Amino acid sequence: MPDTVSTGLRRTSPLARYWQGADAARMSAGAVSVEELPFQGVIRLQRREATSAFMNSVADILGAEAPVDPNTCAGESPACLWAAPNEWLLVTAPDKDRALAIALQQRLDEALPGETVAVALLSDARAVLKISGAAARDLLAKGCSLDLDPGQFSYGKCAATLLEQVPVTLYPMANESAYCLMVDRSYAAFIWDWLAHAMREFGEAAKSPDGVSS
Amino acid sequence: MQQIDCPWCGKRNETEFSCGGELISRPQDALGADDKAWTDYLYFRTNTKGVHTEVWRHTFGCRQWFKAERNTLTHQVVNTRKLSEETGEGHGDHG
Amino acid sequence: MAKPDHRLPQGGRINRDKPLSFSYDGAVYQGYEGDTLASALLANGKRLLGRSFKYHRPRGALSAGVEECNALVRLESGGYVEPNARATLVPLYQGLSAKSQNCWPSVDWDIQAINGLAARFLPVGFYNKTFMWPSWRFWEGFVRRAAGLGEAPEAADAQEYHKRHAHCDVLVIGAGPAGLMAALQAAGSGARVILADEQEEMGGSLLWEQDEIAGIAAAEWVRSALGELAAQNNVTLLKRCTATGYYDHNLIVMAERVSDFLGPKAPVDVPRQRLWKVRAAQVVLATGAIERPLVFPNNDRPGVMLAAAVRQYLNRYAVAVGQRVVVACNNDSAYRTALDLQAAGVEVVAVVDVRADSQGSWVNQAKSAGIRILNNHAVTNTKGRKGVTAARVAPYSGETPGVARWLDCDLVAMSGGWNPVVHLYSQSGGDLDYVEADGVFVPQGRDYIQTAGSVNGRWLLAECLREGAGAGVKAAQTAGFEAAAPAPENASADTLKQGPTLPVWKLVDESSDKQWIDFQHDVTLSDVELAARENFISVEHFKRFTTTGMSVDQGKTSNINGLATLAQVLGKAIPQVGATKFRPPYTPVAMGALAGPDLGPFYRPKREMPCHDWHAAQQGDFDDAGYWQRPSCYPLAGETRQQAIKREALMVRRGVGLFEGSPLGKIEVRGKDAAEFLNRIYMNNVPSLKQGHIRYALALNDAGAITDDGVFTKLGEDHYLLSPSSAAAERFVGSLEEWHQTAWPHYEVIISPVTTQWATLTLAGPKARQVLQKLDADIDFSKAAFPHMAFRSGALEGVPARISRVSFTGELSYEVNVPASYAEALWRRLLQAGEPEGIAAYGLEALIILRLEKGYLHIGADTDGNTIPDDIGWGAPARKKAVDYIGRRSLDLPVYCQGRRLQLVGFKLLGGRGEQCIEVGAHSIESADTASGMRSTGFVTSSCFSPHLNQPVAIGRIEDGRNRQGEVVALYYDRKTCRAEITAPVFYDPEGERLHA
Repeated sequence: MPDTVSTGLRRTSPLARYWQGADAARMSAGAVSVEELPFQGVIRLQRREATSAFMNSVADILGAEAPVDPNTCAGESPACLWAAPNEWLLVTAPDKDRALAIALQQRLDEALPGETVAVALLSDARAVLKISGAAARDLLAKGCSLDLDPGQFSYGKCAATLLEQVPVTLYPMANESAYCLMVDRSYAAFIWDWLAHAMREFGEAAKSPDGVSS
Repeated sequence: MQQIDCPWCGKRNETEFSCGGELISRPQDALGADDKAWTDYLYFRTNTKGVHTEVWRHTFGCRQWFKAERNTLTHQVVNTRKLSEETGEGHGDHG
Repeated sequence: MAKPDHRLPQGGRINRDKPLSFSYDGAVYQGYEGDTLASALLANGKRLLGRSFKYHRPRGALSAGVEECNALVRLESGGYVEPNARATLVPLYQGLSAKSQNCWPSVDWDIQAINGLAARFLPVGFYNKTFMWPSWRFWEGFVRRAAGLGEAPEAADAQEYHKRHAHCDVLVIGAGPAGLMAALQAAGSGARVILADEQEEMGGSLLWEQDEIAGIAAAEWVRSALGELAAQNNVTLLKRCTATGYYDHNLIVMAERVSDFLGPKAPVDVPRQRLWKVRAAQVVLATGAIERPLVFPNNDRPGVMLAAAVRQYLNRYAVAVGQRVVVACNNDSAYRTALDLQAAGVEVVAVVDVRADSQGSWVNQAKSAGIRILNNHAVTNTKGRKGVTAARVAPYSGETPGVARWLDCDLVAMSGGWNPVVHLYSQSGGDLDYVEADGVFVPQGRDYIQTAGSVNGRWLLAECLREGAGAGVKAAQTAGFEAAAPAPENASADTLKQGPTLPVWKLVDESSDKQWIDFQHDVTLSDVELAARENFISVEHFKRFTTTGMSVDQGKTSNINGLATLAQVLGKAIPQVGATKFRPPYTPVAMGALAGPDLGPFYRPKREMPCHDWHAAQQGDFDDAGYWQRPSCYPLAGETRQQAIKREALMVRRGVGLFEGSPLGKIEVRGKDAAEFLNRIYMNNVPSLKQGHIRYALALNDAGAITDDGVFTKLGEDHYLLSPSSAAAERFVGSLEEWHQTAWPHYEVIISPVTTQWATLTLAGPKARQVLQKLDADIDFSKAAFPHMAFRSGALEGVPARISRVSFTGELSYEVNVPASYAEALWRRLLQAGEPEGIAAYGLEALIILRLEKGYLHIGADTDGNTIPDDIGWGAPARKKAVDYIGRRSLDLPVYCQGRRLQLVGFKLLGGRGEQCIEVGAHSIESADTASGMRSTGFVTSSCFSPHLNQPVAIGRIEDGRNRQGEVVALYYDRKTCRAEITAPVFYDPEGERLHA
């Protein structure tokens, strides 16, 4: 498997119909905006038992330790998210995924001969959205039952949960009031439409002299 | 809506979970089991009135199966544990 | 415009600078900002505001709040209609339009009031008992027309409703004195506090009682308390927000009326209401109390009102509801009404108190103010056709009626004591204690709920403030915060005293069917007595028989009077009878708020395939397949659906077609125990499969029934790719994880679902190879190099591809899997490459025909939960495999080894006309003699007209089917019978030559 794909075929985002000539789907209403981060790399790393040899090897390759506490994440590029016991999701910049996945599989196979490690590319299986702005938390709270208060869910945390009946992975981004939302590509358009509808109450049209809008 | 304490993810809404029914174990020697032992495993449950142990899965979270002690009268999940944990305090005691 | 003649020249919390006009039953009136519809109507002298449910008795507002049972109106028109709105809760806005309901032609002259004359013939249980003959169905139409409260809106709701989740450490419900104090204390500890209150303004009774706190007017104190709370960013203040339901683990559902107060003119994009789902570590219930009516004959006339409501209209809305007022009571609080009315210049005819005396502060004030007090007296009747004109007063001494006299008046302000609002507490599962002295049920207390104020039966302001502060501290501490002990608030009321209340349940021992207990449902004292006589002595049965407390107000004013009366009739103590169970919602919630935005496109999630936009652009006809949106066919211009399906099916048989099968499951399983693990999962043998090859596989449950069919591929040493069917993709992952985690955790196996990473584009048809060979690929597609049931990976047009030669159509077929984001581009490239071969897309409908012609099964349609491998012809391999796989042991159970089991067969229709098909669901019957009953010996599970074979084809399961081929059977469906020959379940290419082409 080559590190990169060289093809004449164009990649299509699951949100392509919302691009409207731009290089990603974007929308905003008042104090909240939603932006697609197209073609983000997503890799799932699984091991039956996370031995210290395994964890050390992963740390060597990633340059940061994979988090062992449930619902936490570490690093930025790639961000490494705890997904399940002995399972992590790595989120990378576009086009960095394939090389990283190959390196992980090869180097872990070498370091841990005879043991089972699974590295799966999921970049095409996920849509990644950035939800930012002062009302980002209010927007997510319309469909997500987690406590998103910064005291409970701050940078360094992550969670797999439901957003409006759709399974998602959610984590706060560094240094801004923004969240990264990962959703299966098949649900991306549904979630986009839902967010578009849900965020209208934060927009200008919702403002009134009576101060109804929150 | 009840909150269930996933042994990994902590308290989450019940809608993230699915129930796998009473905790049972598949006969080790299935092919050697007589018809009665096998159909007991397939079809017969204690149907406890009160607290019994079930398996639940955090389907929309970490996808892990775990043990939950649930009161079948009140639907209260009183205790959750990893499948590997035989004894111990478990996770959470919902008052 | 009618002149408001009941409005006081000054005072109240209304904004006299903002007059608002509104209409009621077509007439235009004027009110002010800050009014409710009820206060504005009362200010305009409109007293008659509704008709009762059963007898259509004239009714006026009984209350000023949430307990209102009479003043129900229909608001607005078209998409903005709200039936059964309580006028006491409707904030006035410019242009508001309301209509009376439950009356015709008008509230003032209502034809059905004739029911009132027949009241003695319409007691509880009347409907149940009377309309038995000839049958309820005969009467139903008549009764339904007269039944029901309000009318359902005809137009769709034009407004939006949203939902949201919230979390806090302390949720305080009720922003009266106790709630405000609790919120202040809890907020001071740093805890996240949400304070919710159902009213238009926070403050509760402090907004209208003439109280002082810490030396300032109560309303001023409220303003500063709210200012203090609003300044803290750990506090969320939600007014117009009613906590309606208390669920497990302190989940409280609250309905916020976000823009109701603006009416239909609310700005676009603002929801009308928002449903909050709040998860709170601790809850403080400061829900207050609701005044209890007194029960006496004709206590339902317009102008008989709760005493505190009279006070609230006076002080909060500057409305003097009456000019000559009789106050009837059994407690001290009603004296405040007399005092406030007198201070406002309204004549207080008398305070009629059943008690011998009281030394309470307000009683003493009334005495010194020279108000006439009739102790040991009770109001025993009222007069007046559409409003009170006089009240009859008689000495009260228990059961003995004394000499009565009539007092002229236009308003009776009554107070039978107070009922703590324990609804939410009771919903939480909490038990209640009965306090004999006040005749009230109060919360016992639970460790995750604090209660404070009148809900605990505290009647004096100072007590409420103290208790509120204490509850706030305790809640914060229990939630893990350090909260200082509360500073005592200096309530001027601290020196106040109250005399004891005398609980009374009826004021006159008189047989009358006009003593109302439940005003809205027209339940009277005599109905309660009848219920007791008929042995409805359990309070829950009593409630349902009499319908007490089952109306819009859910018995806020009637429940306690009802059950106390029942207790009295039965000669039992009140706690022995007990209270009915309180259930959500506390007050009615708009259906829209409960549905929220989860309607139409958001009713349930939709999943789109990677080429969705292409399918949509072709006007693809989408079907719901689970959550997936899948094209059923692609009609060309001028083509019907049927024509399109036929064309697509023939195209695959004759040339080549392209199908998107992306939802097909893809699960990678890795590990040194992968083969052994999968050998337990599948019925088919796993370890014998060679690398690069694919095998068809059945999966069973442990009871032996087939749950799915699919294929698995050996990708490499200890590395498999499983492809369950699309419908089972998620379930199969769950099942693998379940068996691995619960039964065989020792297996060194990793399960990695990758279904949506890979798009699946299926090329099918005799010319499929030609099309693929035109693409740039490092894979040899020749027959020799890439046989049926083989797998190859490589690069296709430079894109990583996994290609499986498997077929669900019976034709040469390649399932081309590429990373999903390349799918649409590759799809277009394949269509371009296949143009000379006449390629086009085909949908699910054509696929269903193609698979049926070939006799391929659809698990779940052609099989059910009782179908084992032998039933579909896989018996030998299933039994031969000696390994303990899931379901294996069950196949040896006697039930699966004996008798004539239903076996898979084909059906050939005999004597069919045109494109006639056998109906799916038709049963094979032994004899069509319906009189002796028909025994089914099997049934048809799939059927269609095959365009390629030009004949109908069907498969199904029939007793001992494999041994009965050639036999002719009768197939019965919907009173018609056809004849069919039993055949092998394959109609096309039985030798598989085309498959292996």
